[in-house]
Amino acid sequence: MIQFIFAALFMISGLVIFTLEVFGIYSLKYVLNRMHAAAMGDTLGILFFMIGLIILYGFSWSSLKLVLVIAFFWMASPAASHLLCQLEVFSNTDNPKKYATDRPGEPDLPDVPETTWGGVPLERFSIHHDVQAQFEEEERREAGTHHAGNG
Amino acid sequence: MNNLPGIAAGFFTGCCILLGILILAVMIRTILGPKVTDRIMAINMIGTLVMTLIAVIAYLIDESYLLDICLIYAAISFIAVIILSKVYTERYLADKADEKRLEQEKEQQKEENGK
Repeated sequence: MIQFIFAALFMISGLVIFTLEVFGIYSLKYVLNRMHAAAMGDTLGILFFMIGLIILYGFSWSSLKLVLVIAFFWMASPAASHLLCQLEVFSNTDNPKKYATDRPGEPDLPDVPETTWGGVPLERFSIHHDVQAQFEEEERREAGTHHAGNG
Repeated sequence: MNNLPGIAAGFFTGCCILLGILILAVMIRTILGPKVTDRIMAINMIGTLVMTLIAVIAYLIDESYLLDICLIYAAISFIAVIILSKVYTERYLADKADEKRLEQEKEQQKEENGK
């Protein structure tokens, strides 16, 4: 019985955090603020809820699976949030310098994106860009330098 | 089924009902969301809540293999979010590259006209 009471306390905390998460995505006005609420539910809510279930299951293989779920979420959720923030910063065209810096006296960061993204030139992503022609040009240039080096 | 006392069974059923209501609320945010990022974030949250629901049901009907499904669901939800955000990021980068190219061509045309 006392096991059930402890587990229920943990699970109720988890449910309270899930409810706060849903209130958060309705009361906050901007995506990057909402993402904070969502990430809180993904990590703290899952942790409390799964700890409650682990107490119920006791020492068994099911508990190990739940621990694996917690570990996976604590690694995966920040990565997903990071990529979503990157998408938001890239796709926001209202105020490109909004994310540069808030502190006075500091110089503004350069506008994102720059000429490369992850080492790939930006023109590669263009759908109107003739990729085949660019590859051929690069091959020709490389062949030219190779030939020049030999000569 | 698990032979739970009445209070415990009621508690778990209440958990399931609350989680269902929360999933519906997040679905409304998915429909309302003004931006693409809102929608992807809400999809991520729906994945988390459904996973929690699966874990509760696994204990309620005493079938621990449902926890494996829980783990796989987490992985698939994560992959979906990663792929969606990657694809949309590249889409926006392509648009920006096109704008840059068009501006450069316009400037070149202006210079040629000036000459």
